Amino acid sequence: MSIELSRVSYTYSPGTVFETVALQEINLTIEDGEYLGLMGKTGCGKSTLLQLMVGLMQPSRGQIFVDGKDINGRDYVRAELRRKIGMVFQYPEIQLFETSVEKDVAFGLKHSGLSKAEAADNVRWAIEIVGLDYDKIRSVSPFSLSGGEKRRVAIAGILAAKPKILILDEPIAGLDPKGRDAFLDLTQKLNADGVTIIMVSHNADALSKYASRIIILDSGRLALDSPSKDAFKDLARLETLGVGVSQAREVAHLLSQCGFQTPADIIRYEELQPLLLSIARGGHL
Amino acid sequence: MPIIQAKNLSHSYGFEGKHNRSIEDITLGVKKGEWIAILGQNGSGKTTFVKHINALLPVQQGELTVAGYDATNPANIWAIRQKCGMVFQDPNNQFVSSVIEEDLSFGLENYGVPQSEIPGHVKRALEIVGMPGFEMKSTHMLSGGQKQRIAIAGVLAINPDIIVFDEATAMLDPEGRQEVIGTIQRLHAEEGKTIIMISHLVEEAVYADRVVIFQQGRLVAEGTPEVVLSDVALLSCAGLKPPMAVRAYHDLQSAGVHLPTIPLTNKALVEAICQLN
Ligand SMILES: Nc1ncnc2c1ncn2[C@@H]1O[C@H](COP(=O)(O)OP(=O)(O)OP(=O)(O)O)[C@@H](O)[C@H]1O
Ligand SMILES: Nc1ncnc2c1ncn2[C@@H]1O[C@H](COP(=O)(O)OP(=O)(O)O)[C@@H](O)[C@H]1O
Ligand SMILES: [Mg+2]
Ligand SMILES: [Mg+2]
Repeated sequence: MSIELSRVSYTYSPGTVFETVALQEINLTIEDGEYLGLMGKTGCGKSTLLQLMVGLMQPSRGQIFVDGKDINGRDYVRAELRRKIGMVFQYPEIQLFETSVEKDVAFGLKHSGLSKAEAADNVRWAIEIVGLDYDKIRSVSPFSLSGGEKRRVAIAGILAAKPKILILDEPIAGLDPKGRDAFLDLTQKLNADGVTIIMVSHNADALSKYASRIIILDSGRLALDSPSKDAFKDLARLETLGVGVSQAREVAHLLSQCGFQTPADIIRYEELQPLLLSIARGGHL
Repeated sequence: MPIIQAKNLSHSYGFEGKHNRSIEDITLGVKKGEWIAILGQNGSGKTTFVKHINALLPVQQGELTVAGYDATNPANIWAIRQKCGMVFQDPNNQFVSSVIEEDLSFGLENYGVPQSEIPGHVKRALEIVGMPGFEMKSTHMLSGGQKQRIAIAGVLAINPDIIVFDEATAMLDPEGRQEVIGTIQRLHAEEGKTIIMISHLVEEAVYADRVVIFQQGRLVAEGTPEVVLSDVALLSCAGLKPPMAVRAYHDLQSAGVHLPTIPLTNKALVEAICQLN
């Protein structure tokens, strides 16, 4: 399930006073089974890039191939894309509209070809896997939920279709700490089962822990593309790109400013902890 | 006298299939100029509680006064809303106009600010949130983080005594978040505003004078960040996690290394470790 972008550019409202160049000359290949983290400051083009990948908008220039097929080509079957790719939007809760949580989660399965029983199974699985109590919440109106609960329902609606590529735009904002961990663990499990994960987040801790590759956009251009353990080394550059680093990376950096030698590829707490210990015990240079 | 005083406040939305109260028996006093952080799991009643402070929800049971006004008296609703501005977690629902200047002016007009003074207020509010010169831009053109900063400008423009931030930083990039936190710090320190801040980021609660924890509609703990955020058992019981520095402190402790105090921030952690050597 590869996604390939070839010289993709996008301009909003071209030829008007509102003309905004959102993406310029993006070349990018995402292979089957990757866990990709997409970062960059507000307005750098992340959401635009995702919307192009799922075919919601067409590039102004360039082409996008999914499994080798041009998704904007004349004879491309759109239904194929919808079956393969699931996208959780940046504000998923605003898309909730059904009268019950269960109906809302089931909505995306209407044209999936699943039998009633299969669909019902998927819906129950999805509601439970996002940490909600199926029996308690199934008939509740989505509008009577808290912010975080709505987000969980919206995510469940996408997961229910069991997509092969899961595209997530800031999915963990608004989730409580346990919900955040549980959701990230779930994406990891899905990824281990072969699902490609593409996740936009400002949360460097989350991406450092879960993503294997990091991409950073800067004013619509691809500014960085590297394995996550190398992506957070150059702090000065990251600062100009408006990208934060994980807490572990920050502590390692602060220690190096105190005169201790610390590797620049420490990005997770598990990697930092032994270093902290050896420094605290005075056995570290 | 506290600027906010809630006594035994309870609320139920009364929907079918939802017998539980969304908040139950909340008692909390907030001093003028205090900065309160509220933490708690999804659905624990944080938003429901703060909507009372802004008179968005009527008091069903219990007592509440805000800036000297009795919130149980419906006649006080508008006075209370003028004293207490609120920034919500969903920026898409906070705009009344698609042009930023019009949007910000609308709130000011509602509160009777003279026309001639409006552009000055708008300009200043946009500067505070780090978006000067955005007056004539369309709100549709903004990405998520930018929208949220405009929403904050809308509240700042009205200049209330109390400002409630309901996960206002949740969608922002590090720069935007820093700007907002910096703005809150300024409003708190220099202008004496009372701040109520709901967040899922425990690192943000560190800046508050007092941290309050909600669990299943109840207020289960309150205290200084030093006390509450270092209490791992309490946090875990409320479904929360301590800051990484606290985790490191305990890991060091169980390995036989004792730091003199429990650090809440990464900086404090590193300073403590450097002083050991
Ligand atoms: N409009 C509503 N109608 C009915 N029930 C509601 C409504 N809004 C919230 N609730 C319920 O009230 C409880 C508390 O919700 P509230 O929004 O106060 O939680 P919260 O602590 O702000 O959660 P989050 O962290 O997810 O924002 C939840 O069980 C929620 O489902
Ligand atoms: N619907 C839209 N109409 C016009 N301009 C837009 C629209 N959506 C986004 N933009 C602009 O395109 C650029 C990229 O935005 P976006 O992809 O939302 O960034 P990000 O998701 O990285 O914050 C920004 O300059 C933004 O203002
Ligand atoms: Mg976006
Ligand atoms: Mg809430």
